Amino acid sequence: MKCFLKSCSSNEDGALHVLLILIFLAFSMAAFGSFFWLHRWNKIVQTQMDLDRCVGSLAIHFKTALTLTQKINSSIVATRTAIEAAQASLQFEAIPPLEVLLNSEALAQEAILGSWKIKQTLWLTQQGCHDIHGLPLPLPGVPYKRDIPPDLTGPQPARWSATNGRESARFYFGLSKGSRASAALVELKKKGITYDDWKANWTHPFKKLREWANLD
Amino acid sequence: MKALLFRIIIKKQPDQIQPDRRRVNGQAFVEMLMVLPILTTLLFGGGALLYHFWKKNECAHLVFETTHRALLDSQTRSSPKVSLQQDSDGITGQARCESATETVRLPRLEREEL
Repeated sequence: MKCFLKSCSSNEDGALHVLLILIFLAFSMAAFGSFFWLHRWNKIVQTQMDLDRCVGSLAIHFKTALTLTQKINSSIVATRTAIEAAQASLQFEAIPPLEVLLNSEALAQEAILGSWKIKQTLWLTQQGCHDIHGLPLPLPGVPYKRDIPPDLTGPQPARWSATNGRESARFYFGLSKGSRASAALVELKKKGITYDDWKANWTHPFKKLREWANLD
Repeated sequence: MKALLFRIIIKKQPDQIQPDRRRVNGQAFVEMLMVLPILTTLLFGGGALLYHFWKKNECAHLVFETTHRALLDSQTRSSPKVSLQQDSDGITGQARCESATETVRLPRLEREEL
């Protein structure tokens, strides 16, 4: 112990040096360790917030695309009815503007579906959003499809193309990075066919996996 | 031989060594007495500051994790440390972290009727 405290050298004046160095080292290690953990916590929170922002904005975007597609669908149905009524009542001068309207509605709907397809591709190529990359769950497509070619009245409304019905449709969005993950779910909150009934919610990142496990 | 001669030359007599050594030891003791309180204060002060900082951040992280868990699972209840408050727009987690109060508010994706 004596040797330990006196640094085992012949110079006995530096008796406290080793002890002080040990205290300093212990203090430095505690300080650096603390700052490492603080930095790690900060990074974890930052990653989680980035993941949430990315997944959340995408789920809202998808929900908006679904809602808009449905809204435009009902407009298309209304315009087609008007065209058919004009044809039936022989008001042919009213038909061309209605046709222009019908075509522009169909075009707007195609633009929505197309922009979502671009988003799907970007999502996979970027592996997430532009500012955070990770392991992405493939994005669901907007389950609407238009019958081609158009009939005599003009473009038809897009129809639901998923195998399961709207009521049971569930769309998952997920992205994980390291130990953190974020997930959102878009589903019909209330059964019915109103236009703003799609609801986006946060969900547990492994909910989809659990559902698959239950199905098996 | 040279080394031995050198040692003999520089070697002081025992009665000459004692006063010098005593003087050096005394000065070192006075210096130690002066430095030790400063050193101890710095060490304990720094340690306390570090500990306070650590506890506060640990608590803040706990509030975030608990609130985030509650956002995903509405069944999550308030814990003795973190109190949770849910409303239609989001969830607020609050805890007393040392002398400060840490509040984390996380929004829902969409407004929800509770």
